[in-house]
Amino acid sequence: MLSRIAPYLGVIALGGFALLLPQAQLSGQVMSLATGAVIYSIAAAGLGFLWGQSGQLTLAHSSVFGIGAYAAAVGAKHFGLDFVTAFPWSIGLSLVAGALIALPSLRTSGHYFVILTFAVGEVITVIEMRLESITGGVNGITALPGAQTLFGLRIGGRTDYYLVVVGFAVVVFLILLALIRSRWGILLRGMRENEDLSRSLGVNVALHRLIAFALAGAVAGLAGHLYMYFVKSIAPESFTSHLSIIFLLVVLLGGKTFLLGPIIGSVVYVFVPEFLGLSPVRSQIAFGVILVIMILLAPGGLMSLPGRAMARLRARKKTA
Amino acid sequence: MSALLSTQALSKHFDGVRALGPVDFRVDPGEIVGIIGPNGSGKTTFFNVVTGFMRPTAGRVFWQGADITGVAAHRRARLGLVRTFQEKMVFPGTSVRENAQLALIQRGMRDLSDAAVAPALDYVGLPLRTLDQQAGDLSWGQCRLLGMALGLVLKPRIVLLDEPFAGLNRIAAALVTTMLRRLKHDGIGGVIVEHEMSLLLPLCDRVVVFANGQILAEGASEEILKRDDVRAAYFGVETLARD
Amino acid sequence: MNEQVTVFLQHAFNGISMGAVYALIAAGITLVYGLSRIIHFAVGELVMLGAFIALSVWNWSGEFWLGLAVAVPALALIGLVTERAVFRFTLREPLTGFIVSLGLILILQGTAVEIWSPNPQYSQPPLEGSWDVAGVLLRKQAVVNFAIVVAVLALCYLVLMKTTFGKSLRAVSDDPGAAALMGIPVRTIIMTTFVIGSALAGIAGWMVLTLGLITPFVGAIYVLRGFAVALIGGLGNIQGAALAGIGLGVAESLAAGYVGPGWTDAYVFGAVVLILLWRPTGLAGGSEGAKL
Repeated sequence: MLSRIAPYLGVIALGGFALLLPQAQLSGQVMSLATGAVIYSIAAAGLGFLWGQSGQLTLAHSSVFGIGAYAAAVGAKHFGLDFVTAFPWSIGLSLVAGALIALPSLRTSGHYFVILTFAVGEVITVIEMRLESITGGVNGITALPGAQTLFGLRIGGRTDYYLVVVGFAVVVFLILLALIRSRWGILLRGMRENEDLSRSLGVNVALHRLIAFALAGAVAGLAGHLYMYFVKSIAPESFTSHLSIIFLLVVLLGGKTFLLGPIIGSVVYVFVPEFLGLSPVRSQIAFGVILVIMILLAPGGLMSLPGRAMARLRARKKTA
Repeated sequence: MSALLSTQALSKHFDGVRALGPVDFRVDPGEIVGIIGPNGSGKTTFFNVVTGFMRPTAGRVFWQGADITGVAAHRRARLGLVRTFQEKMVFPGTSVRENAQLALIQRGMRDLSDAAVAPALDYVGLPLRTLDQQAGDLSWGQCRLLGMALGLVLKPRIVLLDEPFAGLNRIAAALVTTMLRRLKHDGIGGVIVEHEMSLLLPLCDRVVVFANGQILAEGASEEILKRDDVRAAYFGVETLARD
Repeated sequence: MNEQVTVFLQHAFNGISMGAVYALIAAGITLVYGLSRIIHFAVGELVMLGAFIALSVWNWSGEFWLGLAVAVPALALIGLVTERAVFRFTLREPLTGFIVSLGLILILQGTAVEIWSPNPQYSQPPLEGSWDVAGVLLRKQAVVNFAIVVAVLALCYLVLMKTTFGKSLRAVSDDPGAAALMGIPVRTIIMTTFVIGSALAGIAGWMVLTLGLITPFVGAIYVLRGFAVALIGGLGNIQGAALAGIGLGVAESLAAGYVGPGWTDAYVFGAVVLILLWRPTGLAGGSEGAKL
């Protein structure tokens, strides 16, 4: 029984710890970085779920994240929507976008599909740039929503918004955890491991893949929404494939099969350059190097290292 | 008696080259049919087309008299038409338990406990201590058994087995033989593609010989090998042709 | 000549000269993929580096052609180094190679920003002016570029078809295992294709420079076009890449000329998506994409 609920308790405990962080009287800058890291970890968790569980990789994840952000921004600027009332739009649109991106995977697979997702992402970027009357074109949108509170927390307040974001993250991670451990999770991993065998056992691979993409899209859209209300100003160049590579890096850093991998990954991604005082360009180079090293030497991610070390120790004991 | 599974002038072309057909084939309920033939004679293509993994270029597939030519592979599996694979037999990256659980889910079972998983492994003679192992770490023979267990959990009306003895040592082959006899006993029909004729022939009610994508001959196991054209096609070409 | 025809031919010429660059990039992609099954996504950054190296050499020496002469061996060297340092460890797992190339994008792009600043750089190639053929203006530089591409691709084709090296290379592409058994040094051949593919990107980079404007971020433009061309031409198929490259260039130029330049990318990539959905292995036929 305990082993069944332990992972959920783990997520809640981690969330509780994150909620207590502001008590440490951290600087405003650290709180901002932490907020960004949590938002990234939510978006990356969507990709991590898709890649780690169903084995599907997409380079359009950043575009779907962008669709969530744009929906929130356009909603605030043109339609008078606020933090809460824009949610159905940002999540709904990104969910649909996620499912649409999955459609080619029903016809193609492997390399062809990954490159297609890249092309789709580029098309979305062009649309964001060209639909100037709605998206503001290359300059993007600056949306300054009015003062608003959620459960007594100010959406515009630095510490308050951090708490809001952590709250959403806990909910998302709990849902993903439940899905990973569900019957559906078993089906997804089966599709990842052997698609033909899944079909021969009666699994509707196309349908489940579509749902998985839609879910990943909705999670990315939620994160994009949170991102928009965090930075309050967005432009197409924020959501290019470059960001998809960053999400991929974040997932890979932590470990793609671990639910909490994206948290480790995004904390490393956001805070390490800050502590080392690296310029954005230098940290980009450094993370490129880290990405290459990780995929070659520790493809299971940082979270797989303790397990691997244990296994190696055990093997050594056996031979000794 | 109406056929459980049958095909009518089924054929498949790749880039204009005929790989299969036209083939008329039938299996009756509970019947076990062996398919032999040299490599490249269209046996695996036949499997792929019948199970819906490939679209036929022409011809029809019938299930209990109903046309299922356009039905998706996973739906055919749900009808009770299940296949195994020659090489990618299991879900390698997950545990044996989770492999079996997936099949149980597809069978519509609510209970996924070890007690529910056990009968499936028992049926094919796979030891329960393998539950926690990664399926990809099993021996080749155990993979084969697990692969069959997954298909059989669905309680199929018929299983199509693609070279069930390939790569097995004698002990593993004996286990597979035992399991196949059990199928027969339980009234599950089978179509078995196999090279190892000494193992195949005793299991089958009927043998069909494929050559150049078509049915060259068919008949009872003991008679089929006496035919000269079969011996020529099978033994003559076998040593020369290669997939 | 009818004015409309002239305008059309002008767009077509512009498209052909642009498409030649795509064909060059795609040929490199196709070669590398054909042998290693690796999707080398950093090829756009190789093009970008080729352009910047050529520009720097040109600025430093004052010799325009020296830029090309240096950029090509420099890129070949980068190809060699990346293959030896990382890609050779990823041959068993092509997805790993693909992710490595994503890492290389970050590294190469960041390095270019560090060296050359993120600002756009303009260049004015010395070969100015155009030839007027029946009202169609053929930019001299574009004609030269096209001639170079034709020569280079023809050379690649001849090497591939006529030489022992080319035969070995095709053998490895067909069946690496069998090629190894026949005593063909598979690993060396794969390494060589990385060198050649990068060198082709170097030539393409120099041509991009002759088009006018470069930034460290132009890579994304060329990687997608390069892969679109390679995919439509059929991965592993050089002639297919050449034809598809010209086709994409012309289609782009016509779309820009008749519909307006703003949406060109969307049309072109939308069309690419549709074509690949219609014919998943490309129009000219090629190998199936391996499962990821």
